[in-house]
Formats: sequence, C-alpha cells, structure tokens
Amino acid sequence: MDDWYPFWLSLRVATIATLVAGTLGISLAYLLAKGRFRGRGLLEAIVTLPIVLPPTVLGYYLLTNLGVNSPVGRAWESVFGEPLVFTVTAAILAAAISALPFCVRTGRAAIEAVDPRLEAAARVAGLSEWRVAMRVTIPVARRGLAAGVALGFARALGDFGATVMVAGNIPGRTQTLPIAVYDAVQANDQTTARTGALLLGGIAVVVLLGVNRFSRVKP
Amino acid sequence: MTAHSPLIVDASASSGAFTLTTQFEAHPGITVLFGPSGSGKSLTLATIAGLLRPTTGTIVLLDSVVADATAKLHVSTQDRRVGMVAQHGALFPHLTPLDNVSIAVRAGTRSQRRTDARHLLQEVGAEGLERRSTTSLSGGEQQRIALARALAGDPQLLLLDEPFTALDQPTRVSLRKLVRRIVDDRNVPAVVVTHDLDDVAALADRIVLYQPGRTTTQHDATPNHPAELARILGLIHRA
Repeated sequence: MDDWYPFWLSLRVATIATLVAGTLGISLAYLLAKGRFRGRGLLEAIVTLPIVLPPTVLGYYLLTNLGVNSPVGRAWESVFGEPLVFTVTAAILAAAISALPFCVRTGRAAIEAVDPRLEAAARVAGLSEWRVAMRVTIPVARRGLAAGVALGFARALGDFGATVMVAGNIPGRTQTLPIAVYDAVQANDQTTARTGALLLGGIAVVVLLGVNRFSRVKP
Repeated sequence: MTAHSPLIVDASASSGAFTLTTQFEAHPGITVLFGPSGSGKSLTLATIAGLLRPTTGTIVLLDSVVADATAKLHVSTQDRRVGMVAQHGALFPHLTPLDNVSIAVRAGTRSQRRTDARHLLQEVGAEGLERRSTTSLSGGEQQRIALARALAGDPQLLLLDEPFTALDQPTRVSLRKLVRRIVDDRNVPAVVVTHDLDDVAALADRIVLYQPGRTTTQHDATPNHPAELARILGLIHRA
C-alpha cells in the first residue's frame, strides 16, 4: 500500500467518533436504564435506528440535514466559514452516529445488570444520586460499558455508506480506509485492497477478542 | 407512645402484589423484627430507610416525621442518616474495604475521611483488611466492613437485614457480640431483621412479631429466660 493516509485518517476519525459516541452513549444508556419518562421508547428507537437503517440511507438523512442548504449546515458555515459536509468533521459525525447504538444498547444492558442493592446501599451511605451513578453504578458496569464502546469503535472504523454519503470520497482529505479499499478494487489495485482489508479485518478481530474478554471477567 | 422513642412506624407499604401493614415502636437498644421469610420484614427496613415510600401512614425517626403518605412527605434516604447492613453485605466490589467505608464518611477532606474509615475498621475488628480485594473477603469479614460502612455516616439508627444468615455458627456468635457492643458503646438504636431464634435470644431488647403481611405483637424481651421468650414467640403453649 503506497498511501497510508486513509489508514491514519480512519484511526483518527474512529477514535474521535468513539470518544463522542462513548460519552453520549453511556449518558443515554444510563438515562434509558434508569429514567422513567414519556418518549423513552421513542428515544430508544431513534438511537437504535443506525443499526437497522442501510448506511447509505443514514448518510442520506445526514446529508439532507447537514448540507449547505439545510438550517444546520448554514449555521455551521456561518460560524466556521466552511461547509460541514464533505469534511473530516462530517466523517467523524457519520462514524459517531453509526457507533452510538452499540454504546447505548450494550451499555444499557450493563447498567441494568448492576445489583440494585448496591445502589440502595450507596443511597443509605449518603451518596447523592449523581455520586451513586458516578461512584457505584458506572464503575460496577464498567466492563459492559467498555465492551459497548469497543464495539462502537469497530463499527466507527468500518463505516462505509454513511461516511461516503456525507463526507464524500476525496483522496487525501476524506477518503477513509474502507472507502480506499472500495476504490482500490474498482481500480484493480489488488495490493492496496488486500492490505486495507487485512488491516480492517485484523483490528476488528482484536476488538472482538477484547470484547469477549471484557464480558467474561466478572467485575 | 413514649416521647423519645427512636422510631415509630405506623404504615403500609407495597412491593408488587405484596402489601405490608406494620405498626411498632422501637426502643433504645435492639429491636428485633422476627417472623418467617416473606412476611415483609425487609420491606419494613426499606421503608424506614426511605428506599420505598409508604402507601399509607407515617414513620417518625427520633421525633421527626420522615415519611407521611397523607401529607406526601418523604425525607430522602440520604437525609435520614440511617446505617444499613444487608444480608450479603452489598459491599461495593470495585472499591477496597477502606474505600467502601470512607465513601460513606460524610464530612472532611479525603485524608480525614480515610482516617475515620481506618478507625471504624478497627472498631469492627477489621483492621488489616483495608487494602484487600473486597470480593475475596469471607462472609464474616464482609459483614464487618458493611457494619463499619453503616457507622460511617454517624447514623441515628442502625438497620440490619438478616445480617448473620449467610455466616457459619462461630462467626455469627462473634458478630452478634460485635453488634451488641456497638449498640451499647455508641448508644445507637438498632432494628435487626431475622428469622433465627438464636439472634432473638442473643440480641433482642424488644421483639416485634411478623406474620405474612403484618406485624402482630410487640414485647419487651427478657432474653435470659428462654421459656418466657418461647412463650412470646408462641412456640410453646401457655402453661
């Protein structure tokens, strides 16, 4: 593989996207696990949508909602001086939204699995609800939360459809590794395609092995 | 009702389809709630601790109303200043024994809270366990730590929910002595839930009897007279 830009871009995009999706995802997971409010089912459905939607459809919605003619896109351009779409930021956004449901669903299951007697003990011990969450619930659920974030990272790293729709396929700018693999196959550049596929496959296997390890070991 | 009863419970509470109606008054010292499993004793403790709202009635803790269903008054668990020990300790598995206790100390800097926690661990005979892995502790050690944690908030009432059930006989005996000593030394009232007659004999200053879903009678105990105790508990017929 001559050009390593797509690999480093993919790592950067996936890492930042995972930070965003992990923070937001764990918060949403906590809200869905503990909150009793109207519209909880709807919120859960919306957050899960990226798993079931074709990535290109997800990308289409992002493009129409963030594009230069959309209110969000216009507001972004007036603040940052350049459009949001077809940039690395757009790629990060697409990857983060693809990763979010994995963080939320796995994280929610982990939070719901925390023994409620521990949380009761924490309240009796005088911890505020915020400290119960931060000092007991989330630390006890940490392995499941980490597993969800790891799955989210793998998903973010591997996204093709949403990214190509909203960030485009600009070599040296927004071309991530999965897109570079596609391009290489189209151009009959087997070496690049093989190396890219091997890298993405290898990282995915490592992440899944790690996830299995997280889920096996008890807290 | 006496003017300075540490705890007056006159309330109903529900959990799923189960409804409990309970009425009793704790005295200084140890009040034992005795009855079969599933009679609502633990539900009573949860309601006293404020983990559950009573559906009707009131709970008065040291002369202040902490729950009143009619007035929709509910003092939060955090503000009731009770200490609680559950059947299996419910220690925080990700924290060391020392941190399990220091997290419950309410005032002071981090190092002051740790110092307090060390003293509490000494008080319950758990010195040397500060840095051990919490999950590797024996049942008796876990209950000692849980007791230290319950004391860390300087509680006005201790609630012990079947605290000795999971333990072997010698450990039970020594932990009963420890609970007795703490209650006497600190002059803190305690409510102990149990279905074990030995707990009643060893600890009760006052006995509240439970049948499924309700309290029946309450008595000042005379634990030194087994026959009297047995009569109270209805185990033998009155002569």
